[in-house]
Amino acid sequence: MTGAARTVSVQALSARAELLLVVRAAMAIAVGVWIYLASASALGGTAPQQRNLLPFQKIIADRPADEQRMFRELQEGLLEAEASRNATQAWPTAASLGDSGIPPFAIDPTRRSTCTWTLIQSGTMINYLGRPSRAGEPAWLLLVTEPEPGVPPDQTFEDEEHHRLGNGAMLHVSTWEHPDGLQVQERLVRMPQAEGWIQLYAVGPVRATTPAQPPSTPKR
Amino acid sequence: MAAFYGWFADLAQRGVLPSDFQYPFLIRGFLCVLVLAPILGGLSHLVVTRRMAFFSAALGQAALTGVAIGLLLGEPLNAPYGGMFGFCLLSTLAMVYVKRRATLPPDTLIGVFHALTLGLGLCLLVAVTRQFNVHQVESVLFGSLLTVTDGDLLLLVAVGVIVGLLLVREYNHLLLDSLNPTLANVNGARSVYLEYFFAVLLTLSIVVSLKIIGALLVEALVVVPAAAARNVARGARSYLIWSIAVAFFAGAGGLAVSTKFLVPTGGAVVLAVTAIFFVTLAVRTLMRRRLA
Repeated sequence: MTGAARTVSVQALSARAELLLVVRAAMAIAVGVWIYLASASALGGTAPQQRNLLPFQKIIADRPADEQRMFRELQEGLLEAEASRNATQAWPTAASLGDSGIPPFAIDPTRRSTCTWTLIQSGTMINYLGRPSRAGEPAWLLLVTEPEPGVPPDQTFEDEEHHRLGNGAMLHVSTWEHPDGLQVQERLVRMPQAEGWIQLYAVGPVRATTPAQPPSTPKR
Repeated sequence: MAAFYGWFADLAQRGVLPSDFQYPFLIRGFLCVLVLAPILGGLSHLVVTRRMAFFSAALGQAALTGVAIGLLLGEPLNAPYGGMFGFCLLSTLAMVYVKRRATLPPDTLIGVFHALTLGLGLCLLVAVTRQFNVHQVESVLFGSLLTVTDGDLLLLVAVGVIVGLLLVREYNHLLLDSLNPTLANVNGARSVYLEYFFAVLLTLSIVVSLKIIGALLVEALVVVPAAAARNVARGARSYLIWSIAVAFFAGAGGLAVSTKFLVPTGGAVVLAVTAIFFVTLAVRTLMRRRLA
């Protein structure tokens, strides 16, 4: 069985007509994006710090007072640990920091909850891990990553997550909290966000638009 | 959504689901895979048939530039969708128009756009990293489930539904146009329209999957599922079904590997889909030997 042949004329779109359609579509896209950006900036009531946080990140100012205190003490403890690392070329143990009276590693009778602190180190990765003794208390983690020998730093200026050692090496540091502290085991944590940890920031990942700072003077 | 995640966590604690499902990010990731598999798998075999693999790679790079533009325009790091959708759609229109009208071979022209968007993206990323922590931007380049929010998931579902409906509506015309544009024209399909239409669908799908797969690797998930499916499919329908199945298993497998070994999701998914490709290749070779 054969069907009758039919003739169909297919009109090709001229280059000019096609260009006109493409330009119109491009203008519509540009206007749409402009309206979206304008409305997003008008409606986005949250602070820039909040808007740029990833799902596992929080600003410490929004956390309870106890956690703010622990965060502040951890920043101080980290600076002391870095100073010791500068002087002795090794990270001090949590016990030695505690014996020197450095919070939060030292025993503090004014604190409601206590943590057992441990230094865990593997290669260039260092954990100061604080595990609570009671259920319902958070666990805490200072995560420090030293640069691999011979590898250039990923950035050359200091900020909340980048601290420079006296020898010029740039450390990557971050502070983490696990809401269910008893669940945390005593082992090296490499990627805390994948294990339910929350990263805490003082000011957030967005930097103030200031020019790059010169390297700071060696710490102690 | 908290109650929804809580329900999953409860099932995980009771041992009904794997223990990793206690984390909301993994539930979001699994839902993303459920939505992405039919979209990218469905588009995948048309991408291969229409020879648009290199076009997809160029779109991935354009998305990277779009992220940088969005961030520089003040969009949040978590959702620079205005920049991504805007720049990628404009790039798509420009690429398709120039490809259709220029006399140079299409791969050469797409190569020019590929280089242009990548160069522009890298320059803009330097400016972006002056404002943002470089590690935050890395997750976009390589894809990370940990950065996917409920908003991303809703956008993915919305775009997935729209792309799916449009694809179903025009599927026969697209397939015919991919195989024989002249016959498609005679059959009432408008080839010019279909070319732009399919490129826009592909762009939307790539942009919404970027946070999961990553800008550098998204091309793999729109090409390899079809390549794997072609090894085992025996007709157009099974080609489509196999493409979707391969995309789903690669997504779920990559998710599991990514969670277990703490590697970027995009890389794990691409490794999984490539492994499936080689398995299907081996199956095809064995079947041929048996028939010979």
